[in-house]
Amino acid sequence: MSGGRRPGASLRSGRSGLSQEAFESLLAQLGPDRDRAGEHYESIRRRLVRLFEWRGCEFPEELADETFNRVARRLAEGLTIQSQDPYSFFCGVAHLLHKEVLRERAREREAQESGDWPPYSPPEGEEPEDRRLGCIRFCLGQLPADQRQLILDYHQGEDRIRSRQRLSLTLGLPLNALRIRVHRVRRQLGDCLALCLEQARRG
Amino acid sequence: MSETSDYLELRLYLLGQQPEEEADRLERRLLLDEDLFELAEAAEAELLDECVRGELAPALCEPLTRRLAASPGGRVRLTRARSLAVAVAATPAAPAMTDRPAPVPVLPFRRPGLLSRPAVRVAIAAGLAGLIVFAWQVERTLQPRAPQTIAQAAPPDVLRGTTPAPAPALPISPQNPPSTPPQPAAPAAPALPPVRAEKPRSRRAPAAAVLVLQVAMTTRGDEEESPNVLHIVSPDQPIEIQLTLEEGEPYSSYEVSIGREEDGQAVWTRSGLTPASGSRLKIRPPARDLADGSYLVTLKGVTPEGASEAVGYPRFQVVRP
Repeated sequence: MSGGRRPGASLRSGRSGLSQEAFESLLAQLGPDRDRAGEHYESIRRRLVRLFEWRGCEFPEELADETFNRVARRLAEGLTIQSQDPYSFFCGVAHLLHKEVLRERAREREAQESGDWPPYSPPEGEEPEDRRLGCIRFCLGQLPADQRQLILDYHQGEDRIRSRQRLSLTLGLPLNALRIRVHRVRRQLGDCLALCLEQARRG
Repeated sequence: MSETSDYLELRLYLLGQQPEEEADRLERRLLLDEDLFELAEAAEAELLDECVRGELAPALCEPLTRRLAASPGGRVRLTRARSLAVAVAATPAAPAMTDRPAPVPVLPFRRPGLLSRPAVRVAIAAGLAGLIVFAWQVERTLQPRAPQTIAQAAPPDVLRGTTPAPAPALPISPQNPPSTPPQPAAPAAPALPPVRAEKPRSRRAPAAAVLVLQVAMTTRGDEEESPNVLHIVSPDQPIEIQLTLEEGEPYSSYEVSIGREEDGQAVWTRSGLTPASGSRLKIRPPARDLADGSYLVTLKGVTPEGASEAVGYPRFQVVRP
């Protein structure tokens, strides 16, 4: 895992490894309405990807898919999820998968007697810093004035703990709600940044 | 679990400092609870920001950034955090929101009068509709172009590697981003929600300044760590101070007195107040009564039997530009 090898070798990944029947069993488990079940699927997948990222996994998307595959296969084999919520079951499978990844990583480490993590090297095509900065300034300028001000207020200031407390009082928002609001603006900024860089790349 | 402990727990989890069992438990909650998950994303962004700015010890940052650097998505977020921190640091500080009147709806200071009559309302609505149609037609004649969206907008010229055609007053560069939105780009791009263009603000009465004060646990001798600041921009600005009460207070009404801290002189008092909604008592002292300085609010509850009891003594400061 850590050595850069994709988990596909020993941990099969991707929805392509699933039969249609297994996939349908999975969707049925997520809800009676197929569209809603599809939304649940995407929502769980997004969170699983992030959990694997937070665990330091190199190929989180593939591990999330592998989690679904395993759950789906078990369901197709006739397993009934006893738990009131299927999410816990997904989480349990994801944990087992992560443990497998760790074991695999340990084996690789022993074999290679090398460091735990590959040295970080910028991925190919990473944007030059000035272009990225230009884009982020451009995107800040594209935000509605109140959102731009919120981002700047939130990140500027010497004593940020106090200034954020004041900001939360001024806006009449609990701190966590303020954090989430700022995060949503950041996400919007991130979407704009990606688009801006893409357009800059195309020239 | 309280919101503070959730947030702290998430930070520990992201920093890899939680015991495995607790991390497992938290991950289950993260899968179940969309709000908690979003808070975790926010916590991650804040940790990265703190790492980029050197506000968090490298020993704490290193495991987090190393874990994130392992995946493509994590690398993107790391890079974005760095860029955002640099861009924000390079942006001149504007007057903070806390220094400006809060954008809240205009408060109902007036009692219903002429406007409460249906015939008057209909007449005003018809007049406004006519005005809007007229304004729309004028605007359509003068400005036929549709408002630009991020999806339509191109990055600054410098990012496209081209020289800006007409010589601008300032050379466009990452240090001097263009002040006008770029022209629509030719290639199709994934759609983003349209972003409203900034409109010049018309001159009008200042919006109400709202200050929320926590009453619970405040005593007369408290020295608050974080002063509550009320920014007043003009003497006729509507002021609203919201006193947050404990749930289930046994009082039928409240008395509020605002006094200057320097000499104890009361500048505003009211009695017979009841919380308008939830557990917030809203008071609206006139801005002209509140000069710059520190104030002590004395809040007393009146029991159904008529006895008066001290409830709390929150403080605040008034600051004018």
